[in-house]
Amino acid sequence: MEQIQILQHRDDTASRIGMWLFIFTEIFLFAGLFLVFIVYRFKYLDGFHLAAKELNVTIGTINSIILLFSGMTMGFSFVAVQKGNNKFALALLILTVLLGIIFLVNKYFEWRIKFQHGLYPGSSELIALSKGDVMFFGLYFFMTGLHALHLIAGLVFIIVVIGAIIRKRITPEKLALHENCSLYWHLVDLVWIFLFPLFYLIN
Amino acid sequence: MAMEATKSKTSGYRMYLITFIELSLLTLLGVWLTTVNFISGLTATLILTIAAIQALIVLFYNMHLKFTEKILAIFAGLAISLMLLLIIVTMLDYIYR
Repeated sequence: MEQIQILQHRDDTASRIGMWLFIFTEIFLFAGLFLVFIVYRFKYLDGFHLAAKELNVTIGTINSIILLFSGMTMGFSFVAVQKGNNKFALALLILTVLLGIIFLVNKYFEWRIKFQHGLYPGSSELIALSKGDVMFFGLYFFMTGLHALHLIAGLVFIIVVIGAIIRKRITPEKLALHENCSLYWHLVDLVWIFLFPLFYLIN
Repeated sequence: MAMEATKSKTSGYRMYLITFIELSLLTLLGVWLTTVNFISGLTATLILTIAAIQALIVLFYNMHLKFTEKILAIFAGLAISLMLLLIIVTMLDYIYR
């Protein structure tokens, strides 16, 4: 009797290396922006110093802890899938999504206050201030906005992983998709680890 | 074609819990440092050093560089060194121009 054997080719190591190459490009993108921030901070020391005082350190700290906590729940979810505990993994991924949304809501309120005070790029109030203020808030909105976009992409990625776990496309033997999602989510963490002190703490 | 199923060896829930506690404490330490009056420039240096330590914790433990293939750790080391070189050279150019 003729037997048909279907073999599926999968290379998890190549998948992981590919994800890391993408992460390196992202790190370089943000490193370039950090460099721009540092150069302008030296150029407009007083303006940056005063502008940074407009940011709320408490909200920034709460957001940092939320993001770090979401990193832990993502890690827990990865371990849960490794142990074959899919229900727990799903619950943790949903919690990670909720934490990401809470971070974005906090960011929205923070941005809204700045908009109400006229501290956004192109506003007549901001243009009337010093060049340091204009540069600080320009970079603040661009860099935190870019970070927020990465976070939204991460949320979409997590939802894809949730779907894959439900359809049993992620198993203890097939973890590459979950691992890559986890790597991406931690990249979002990594970027915030530098954004937070640069904008909120060094003034 | 050979099927390949490579798994990253991680230390389980405990590792992620410990790294979360470490990262949170370092974040709070950075916030606390802003309330202390050090010599000019020292606070910024300390805060950025703390951020660098946090980044290393995330890279090695949360992103599994400590447990993954050696080649990836070498690639990451090279990429980060190149990034630091880029920052240092640009800053030197900016300061001494």
